[in-house]
Amino acid sequence: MQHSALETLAVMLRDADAEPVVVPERIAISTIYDLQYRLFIVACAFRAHAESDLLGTRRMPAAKLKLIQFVAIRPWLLQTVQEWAETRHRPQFQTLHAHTLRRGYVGDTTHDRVIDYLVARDILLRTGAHIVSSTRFSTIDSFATAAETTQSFVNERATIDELREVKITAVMLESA
Amino acid sequence: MKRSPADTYALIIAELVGNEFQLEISARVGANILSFQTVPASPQGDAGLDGFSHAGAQAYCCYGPEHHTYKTNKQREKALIKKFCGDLRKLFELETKGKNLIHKDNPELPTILPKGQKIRRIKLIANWFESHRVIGPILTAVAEYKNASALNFVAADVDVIIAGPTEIANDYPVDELTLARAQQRTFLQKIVASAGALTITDPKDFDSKMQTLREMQPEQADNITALAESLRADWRMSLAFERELGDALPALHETLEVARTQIITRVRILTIGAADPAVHISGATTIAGEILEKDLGKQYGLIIGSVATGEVARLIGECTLGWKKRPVHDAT
Repeated sequence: MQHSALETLAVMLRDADAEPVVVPERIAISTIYDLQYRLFIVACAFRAHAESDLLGTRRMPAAKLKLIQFVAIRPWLLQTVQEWAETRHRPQFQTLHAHTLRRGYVGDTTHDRVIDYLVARDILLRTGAHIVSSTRFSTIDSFATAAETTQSFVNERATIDELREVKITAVMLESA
Repeated sequence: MKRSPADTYALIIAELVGNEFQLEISARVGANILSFQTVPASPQGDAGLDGFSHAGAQAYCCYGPEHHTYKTNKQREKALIKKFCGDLRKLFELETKGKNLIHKDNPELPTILPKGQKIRRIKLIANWFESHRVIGPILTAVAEYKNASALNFVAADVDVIIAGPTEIANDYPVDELTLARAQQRTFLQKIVASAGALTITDPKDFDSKMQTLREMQPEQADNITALAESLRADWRMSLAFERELGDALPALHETLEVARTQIITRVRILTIGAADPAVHISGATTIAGEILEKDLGKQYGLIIGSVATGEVARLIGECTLGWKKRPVHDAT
């Protein structure tokens, strides 16, 4: 029963002389395109996975950040990353694994735009293949603090934490 | 590493059924044996042959039954034996009459095989081959067919080999392109499977609208229940489709999101001009179908109908489109 289900419904409504109710504002856009949500996820991922240098600057590979935030938004992909990471001892197989996931996160242009925004606001900096904290980094770091203190985005943060146990190598990221 | 690429490929092709299975096998063999020739099944039928190579010396027959068709391995064994023996009889130009085998011309074979060529090897390929009990009966039948046949198209010393997903995966190397191609074929099946496992969070608005409809049309209560279930199924399909795109093809997910916005905008315009909920529902269905077909029809035409219905079910469930009892005005 494809379109016919809705056709049947339409006939029933007409027969019942129903009064229409239309509330268009009730439909929300997918959170994937919600800038604030994406900022929170990037903030949490960066806090958990970036490393500090001697001057206190925090940095992490851009591709790794892209992968972590992608999986954080889709926790059901965690197992795929874990299996993919297990191929590190047999690098010749790395390109053969998790190619759907790799295609997915590499094509996540929404994340690229979020990073563009953060770079434009002088919150993060792109240096070669790395993302580095910039002058106004505290702005986004406060997002991570807020998520922790208000216990928001629990699933996403749990996934980000679990990904700390997964060895994501440069070879993996380069093969994507 | 939990699974080798060959194991992964074997699992993927074991999921494929019907034409998708046959197409994948043809692509796999064709990519590795340059002389492989597929045999179109229409309009005259494939004469029992799905493809051949080596100028007709090697023949291929495929069988990918729906997995739910057979409940037990014994039923699967029987089905495999029946199907492949049927194909072999066509190649040997035989048919059964009672317990006897009699000659029956296969008029299409001379139009498929090169003149004078006889098949020396037949590969029977199935999407399930986990029982050795199919081997004996098929090979015994082959021996009988050799004796009964005029052997016009099959050599007297023909070899018959049975292969399943594991054998097909191990025959040639499995590379990334092979895996990607096979996975693309399972996309639809994956969506159907994930849709079945999805739960719609908080469907109470949808349910309350269906309850209102039941109260307005009590004599249709059973039909409304079936209708609601059908719409929920399409809604889940739409959600599963969205998830698959989001996981693997973010650019197309964005296309879907834009399409959804367009659907809402056009439905909104439609509802301004009409006060009949039936017009809203029918119009929304048409709009969703048109927009999704335009943007995603090329890649996912097979499921766009369900996704479009699911999108309208979502509009009902998330309260954009609804209905209520018309207030009764006192005529006095």
